[in-house]
Amino acid sequence: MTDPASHLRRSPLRRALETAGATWRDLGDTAIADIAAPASAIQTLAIADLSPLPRLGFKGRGTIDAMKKRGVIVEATPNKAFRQPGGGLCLVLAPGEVILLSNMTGNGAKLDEMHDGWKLDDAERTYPLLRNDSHAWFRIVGAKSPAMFAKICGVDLRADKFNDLSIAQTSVAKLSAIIVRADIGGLVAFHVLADSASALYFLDCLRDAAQEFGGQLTGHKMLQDVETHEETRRHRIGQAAIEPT
Amino acid sequence: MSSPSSSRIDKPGFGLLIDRTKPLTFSFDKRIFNGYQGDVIASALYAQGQTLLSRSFKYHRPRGALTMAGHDANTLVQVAEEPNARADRYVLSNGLAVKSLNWLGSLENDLYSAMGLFSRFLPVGFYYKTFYWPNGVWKYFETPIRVMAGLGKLEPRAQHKYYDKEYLFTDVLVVGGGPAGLEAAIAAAEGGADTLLIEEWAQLGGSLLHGRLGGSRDAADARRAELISKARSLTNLRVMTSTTVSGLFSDNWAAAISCNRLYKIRTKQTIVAAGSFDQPLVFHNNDKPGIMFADAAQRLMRLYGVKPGSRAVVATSNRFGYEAALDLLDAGVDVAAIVDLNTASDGTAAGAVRARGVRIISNSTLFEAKGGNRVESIGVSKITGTGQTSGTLDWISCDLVVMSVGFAPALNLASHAGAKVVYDDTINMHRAKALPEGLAVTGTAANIWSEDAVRADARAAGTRAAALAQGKPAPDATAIGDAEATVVTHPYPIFKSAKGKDFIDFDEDLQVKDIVNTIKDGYDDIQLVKRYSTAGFGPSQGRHTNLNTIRIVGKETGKALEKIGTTTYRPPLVPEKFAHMAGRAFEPVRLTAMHGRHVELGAQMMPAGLWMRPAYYGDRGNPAKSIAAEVKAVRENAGIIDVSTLGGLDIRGPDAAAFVDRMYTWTYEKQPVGRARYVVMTDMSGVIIDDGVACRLHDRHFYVTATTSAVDQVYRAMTWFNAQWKMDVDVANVTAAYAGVNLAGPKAREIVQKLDSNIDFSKDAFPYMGVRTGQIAGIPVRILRVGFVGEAGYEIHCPSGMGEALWDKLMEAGQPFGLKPFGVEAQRILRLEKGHVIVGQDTDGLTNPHEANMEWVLAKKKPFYVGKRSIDMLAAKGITRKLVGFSVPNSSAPVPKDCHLVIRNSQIVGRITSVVKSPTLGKSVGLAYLPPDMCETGQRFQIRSDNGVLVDAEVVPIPFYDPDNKRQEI
Repeated sequence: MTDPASHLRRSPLRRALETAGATWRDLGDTAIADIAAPASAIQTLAIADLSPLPRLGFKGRGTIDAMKKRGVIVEATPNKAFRQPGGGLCLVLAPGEVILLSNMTGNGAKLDEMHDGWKLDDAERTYPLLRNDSHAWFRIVGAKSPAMFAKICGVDLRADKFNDLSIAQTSVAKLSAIIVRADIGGLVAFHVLADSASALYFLDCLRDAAQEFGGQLTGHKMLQDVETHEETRRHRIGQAAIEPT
Repeated sequence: MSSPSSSRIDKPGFGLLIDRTKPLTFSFDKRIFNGYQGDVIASALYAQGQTLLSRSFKYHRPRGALTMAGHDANTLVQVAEEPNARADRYVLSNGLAVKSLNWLGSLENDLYSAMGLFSRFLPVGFYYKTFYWPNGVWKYFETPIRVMAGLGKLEPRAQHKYYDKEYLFTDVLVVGGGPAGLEAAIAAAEGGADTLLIEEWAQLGGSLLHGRLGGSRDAADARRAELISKARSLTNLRVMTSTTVSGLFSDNWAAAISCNRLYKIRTKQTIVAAGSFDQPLVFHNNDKPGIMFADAAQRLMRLYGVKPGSRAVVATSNRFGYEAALDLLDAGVDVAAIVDLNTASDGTAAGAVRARGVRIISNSTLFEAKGGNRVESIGVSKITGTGQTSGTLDWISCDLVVMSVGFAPALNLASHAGAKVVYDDTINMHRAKALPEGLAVTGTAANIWSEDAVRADARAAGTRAAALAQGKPAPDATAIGDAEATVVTHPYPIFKSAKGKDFIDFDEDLQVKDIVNTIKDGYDDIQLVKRYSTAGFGPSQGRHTNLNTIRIVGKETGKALEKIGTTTYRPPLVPEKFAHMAGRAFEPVRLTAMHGRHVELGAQMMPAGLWMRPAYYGDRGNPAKSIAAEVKAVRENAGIIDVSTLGGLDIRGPDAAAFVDRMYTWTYEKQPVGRARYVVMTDMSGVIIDDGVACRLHDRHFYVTATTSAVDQVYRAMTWFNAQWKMDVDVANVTAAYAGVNLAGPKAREIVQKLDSNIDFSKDAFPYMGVRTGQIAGIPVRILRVGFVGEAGYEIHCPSGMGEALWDKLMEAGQPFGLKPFGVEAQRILRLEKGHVIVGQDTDGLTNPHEANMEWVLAKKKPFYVGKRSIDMLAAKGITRKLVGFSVPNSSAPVPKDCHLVIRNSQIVGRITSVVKSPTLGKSVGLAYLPPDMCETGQRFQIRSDNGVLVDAEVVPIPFYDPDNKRQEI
């Protein structure tokens, strides 16, 4: 069994998740939590900590061009997310600011490459930001997610009002947060990025709001399985589209 | 124990809300009562003959149910810990402990009721005139008045309950689930709009629940079933029952309450279909228990299956009184007479009543009621003019008086949203006009009463709102007139009695003469009438008071009622608990990456803004000992403190140096890469707002630290100025991205050198105020050689996700060197011994750098920095205080405290900002603001310490500790 404290990088929710019965798996330079939850949890309302997964921000007026140059699928459309080949998302927060979220495998090689390859002298006018560290990363999945958010957030996140890949930069439980709708496997799902220093407080608020709907903490594996399945499905659809009938 | 069914009506069509198969038991004033599931407290009490529910506010008069809708103060009771619950809306549950309010002795025999005998000594506005003379007498009145006044009791030991809030969003919000509201909501939903219908009762239907339609109860039932069926079939129509909209605000924002939750609703269009409020007939003793509005009697019967009395007199001026009489007859209540204020009685309804043998007395009014704790008989008199009677009384014995003499449209919510409310003398009621955009009113709230007109108007309102909400073309709003509105409300149902006790306002015990005397006292504007008389001040919020008050003002002043205006309706419409407004408290707390380690090490945590920081490590019992040990460790070996809460800003781009140069007072353009420099930020008025260190990591990259509490302000200022200056630079607040520790003490270098690193920590390679980036123990770091605590030290910043690992590595490496963690308290001592200023503690909201003795950090040759012009002007003007160091020569003198005052010739001339008994120096040292002429080294002054003890102090140079800075630069 992996000891999360044996890694240099640790989730700000390590102790809280341990208390909730988490087990840990190695994931790159850190460990990620799995929490046993019934399969139905993900249909209704499930909350997972994805903070150990890689993510990276870029900010500056040349950001969009710089991202395109690096092969990121993105447009200068604020508050819109773009799915990347192989999973992962590019969140456009402003005409000059993005956050790149890795896929669920936790493979951060591409993001590392982008970070390590960046040079201040390149005059691209884009600057990396340590979003791994500044923001905790939560995944909220299930039909009751919008109803739960309605208790802690003033933005209308109902499924028919807040479309897939929409972004809201808003206050959640009095905390600045970035909410991204990114459905998986036909399930309404959100990513939430919020101040890492307030991660424990934020998790408490989420769990409290979710209680009314039977929301449960879940782990990385359950979400990874759903996303892998979804990716496979997308891949098949893509193959079918290009194969002659 | 009383029987649960003594006054119950055992017939079909009565008791819609109760389940007779589920009996409940509760107590009222410690007596056991029964009820049924679905009952409210008042209905269960009435069912068992308990019609006395409360005592009035001022005269302690007996009071019973008036509205059965929670609209009045007559039914206020205490339910366990909850004060002022409304017994006519509070749903019964098993074991409920209910107490009546506001009496001495017992509810039935209230000794305070003797107050009524002294009513002539308690005229309107008496509290403005009495108890204030002779001087000082108020305190003798205050205690008994406070005992007698007020209603429910706050229970300080009440258990906290869970309340929360929820946002709702909709295209069209319809307030009121009666016939008009349902019709409007259905039309809006059929128009394709996302529609939300909110109804305060548990069941939809409004007046259809208890009243008649076209004179028929069956028609009302059928219509209600039809509307509900249609509403339920619409998937885009959400219905919330048992929910009350308590306020409408600007930007289409509505507040609603249901149980323990406050809903915050964003809507595009709002339709108010809130109905109307009954208005009382005013006559002598019109407040006796047993006297109630017609629809209150109907609610008791239809909703709860309770007979409101056994022999009734109905006073009315419209069809609703007659319809209530029919319901009473159907329920088995004897109707002794109908007293019709009109000359000609309402045709259809009157005919049905007359056909059942009920006596109808036309052109007459009730003039006086008799009885003790319940009405026993009623005196009827002929009307001879406006508010005038013949004086001859025809007495009728009864235990129930039912009133329906008029209405006031429920325009409170419309008024909250900005609608004007004006009096219309063609209908003897107010109406809404100049409705704000996005608001419509329909149903009786819009003075539309007849069934066909209600249907047409409500449907039109719903269709129009749906179109507008969806950005579609919408028909203009057209007013649908309704002739019935002219015959539902009597123009002057007020019959002043020479004996008084003709109540205008039941909450405040205001009689007709009180309003008359208010005007005689000179307060003839309606707003002043309200404030002087307190009419409408009570829990009813004027629902049953305002209209009659305006009528009296009109009569007494001779003004037309439409010229008098109205008082202002303000939210909330219904009482909101503080708990509703507070909801589930959201109080963000920020924890550093090392927080868990601090707790494991026994740290006593303290708040620092939103952050939690270790105050000190060790037992709460002896903090001084723990803190002294931490100071000693830093001075003699090494200490480590978590400084992750410090702000961090990355400033990157070609103009980074020029930008920092503009934002801070010193010079940074030529600062070498790899060096750190102290920074002070001032605002445009020259006031110090922050300090920190600017680290040049690259020609185009500064990493600037800021104080814990000011970093957000600094970031805002930087982005605000950069938006104007348009410099080629990016500013990022990276506070949460970096954790930080300060490793300080004579053994700090040895400790850090024990860890694998690509950084050369030798003195020459990494001098004081140097900055390096690299890795320690595999962790990427930014390291600053700074000396806040006056010892050799390394402030090590790393990605916050690795903060705990960095802490672990350093603690392990430091173990052989006696490394100890230290907290904020020890750091305060250490920095003060070194004479370092803390912005916000040693400066205030007016301190400029000259006053703070920081001229050295002001660049003289720079053409600009934020605040420079103001600072130059302040310097030219001359300062009135200066921050200096001081010590207390007498080591046995009391230790002054922060903010103790500096005294000269008995005058306050300065204050202490920081002071400590230095464990290192063995004496008290500190910083203080003194007048410029007292700032010379060696000058003596006095500090007024606790209990006025004057402590002698002396101005001394700073730093107090290691004045040559040898220790921090080793």
